[in-house]
Amino acid sequence: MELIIDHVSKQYQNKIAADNISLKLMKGIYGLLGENGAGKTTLMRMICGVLKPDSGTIAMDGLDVATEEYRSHLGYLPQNFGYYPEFTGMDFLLYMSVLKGMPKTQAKRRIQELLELVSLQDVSRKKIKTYSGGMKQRLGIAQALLNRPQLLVLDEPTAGLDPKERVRFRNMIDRLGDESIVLLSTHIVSDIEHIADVVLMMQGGKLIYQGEWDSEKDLEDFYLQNISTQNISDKKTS
Amino acid sequence: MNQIHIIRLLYGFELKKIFMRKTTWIILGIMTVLSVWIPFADLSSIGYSIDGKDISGYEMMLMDRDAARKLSGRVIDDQLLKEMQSAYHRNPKEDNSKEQADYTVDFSTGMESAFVSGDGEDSPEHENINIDGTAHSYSPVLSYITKIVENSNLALEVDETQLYQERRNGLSQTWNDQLLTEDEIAYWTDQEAQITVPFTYEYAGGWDALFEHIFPLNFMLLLLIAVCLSNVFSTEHLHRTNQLILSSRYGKTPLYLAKLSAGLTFGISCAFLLFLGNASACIRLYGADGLHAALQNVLPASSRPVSVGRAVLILFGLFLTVSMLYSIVTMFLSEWLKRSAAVMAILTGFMLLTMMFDIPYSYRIASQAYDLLPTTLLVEWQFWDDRLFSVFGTYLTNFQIAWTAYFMIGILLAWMGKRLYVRISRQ
Repeated sequence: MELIIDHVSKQYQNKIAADNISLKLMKGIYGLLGENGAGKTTLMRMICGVLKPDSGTIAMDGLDVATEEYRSHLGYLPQNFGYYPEFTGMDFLLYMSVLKGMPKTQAKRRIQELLELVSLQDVSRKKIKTYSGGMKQRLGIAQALLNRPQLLVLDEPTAGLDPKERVRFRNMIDRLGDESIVLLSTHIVSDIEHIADVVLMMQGGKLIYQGEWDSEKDLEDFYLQNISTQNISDKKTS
Repeated sequence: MNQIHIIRLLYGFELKKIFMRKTTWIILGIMTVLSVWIPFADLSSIGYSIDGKDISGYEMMLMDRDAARKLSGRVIDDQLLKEMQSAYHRNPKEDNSKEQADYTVDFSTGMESAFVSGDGEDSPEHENINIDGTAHSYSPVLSYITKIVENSNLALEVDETQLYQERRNGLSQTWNDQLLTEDEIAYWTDQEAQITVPFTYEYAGGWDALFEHIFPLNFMLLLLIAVCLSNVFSTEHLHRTNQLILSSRYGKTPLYLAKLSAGLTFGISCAFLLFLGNASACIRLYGADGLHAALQNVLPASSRPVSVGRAVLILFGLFLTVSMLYSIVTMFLSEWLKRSAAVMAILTGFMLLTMMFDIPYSYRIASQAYDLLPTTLLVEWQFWDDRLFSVFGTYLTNFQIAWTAYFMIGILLAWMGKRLYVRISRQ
């Protein structure tokens, strides 16, 4: 199983959001770090087929990003998105399971598992409009995991979660890395420093660092150092 | 799971999304009540006085209905005309009505004009007719003759030959105003030859009312669909739910088809509800008589050799087709503009514009095309818009071409909407 991102670029008017990015991702957890506006979300949206790159290709095991088969292996949690406020949590997950093409009985079983996993089983029959921000985020995580995706893309997944939930979420992701490609973006270093097998760093649309990470090292120091070095280099170039 | 099964499941969810909105229920409730209320409103807004006794519009309608039913089946010939005229002439012209309305039809525009007189003053254009026992039993025929000859004085003098000649003159005038070609006139002359003359009077009050109400019903339908379907696609963009949907396996074509089907189902159901709501109220009040009568009983200016029932079916079919078109246009705009407020603004603006603006017959092509718009087509006087469309040597009427055009536009917009929806965003 491998995801190949080949010379992908994306530009919005005057801003380059992704600059000639090439990556090859295998099973494992990839932590994507970068400041706000670094291009993390743009890259993730292109990987999920929601945004069209200006150039370059994205494919998983030979399946192009635009195909239905590619999307059938994908789980995606976007950074900011709305729910259907009048739906219950259960309705929403059932709806997403149909969109993902899951048979009904299998979907119901999986939904029960996930509701338990994200601690929403008691409120699954309540309308989403009554949920707190953290509950909505957990519901989002549950929908991303519904189809046991081979490629799991999580954009700022810990936003809105309390410290206890964050720890629980990290443990859950840790297990998923054994079976899938997990790409997790955040600007909070502590979210990934203990679970990421590989760290990716973006700045100004460029991939400025890519490498395996030894959890004994201090990622935050390394990250800040890299970012500031890049800033100096950018200034010199300009 | 095959795609049809997926679409069916998604369709259920999409319908649920539409019906879970409070706005849907509120406007649906208001429009349904209004559609049923319109026939009652017609009667509650007018009152009469007979021999100093006030009677309501409803009581007057009951009297008219009874009189009309007694006359049903009578051939409108010299004998009936004489009976009617002598019944009215036996009664001197005295006005004991507070308010009495009569109306004529302008053949060129199809507009019905109401002449209301009161306080016993005779008007030179309109003569008040005393309503009492014998005379009143002929009032439905008098009203009908007045519709044809456009003059209530003449209605009390006309004989059979003159009556049908007046109708032919009216038709010729309409054809002249509508700038019909020789071939079109020949077409309608041929159609006219299939209509039995002299006419046989049949009471069809319920259907007559329905023909009049199709105009407000059409606007109510547009408003209802604009409010309820304008967010079918836009809400996914607005709340960014589209990211989740478009990245899922069946979030593109299958979901688009499910959304489209749910929207169409809603639109068509609304059309059913409004039409049947109004029709049942009309039938409840006026009765269902006259379904097999010639259309000329209700719309004497029409040259279409069809029964009232068939004309009602044509109208119903068009109403359903229009509801499909409104639904597709609304959903297309919802996907294209990605803002439900903008969609509603465009549709209500279009509705108001076409209510206030008209293109005269003298600009034949522009006027003919304009009158094919769904907001201008569903009006009873379109039954005597005799301008035809020549398609590969065959003449099609306004309703026939509208049907075809609406289907084609609907399919085109559905296809364009799909292209917009499944396209991977560049922004």
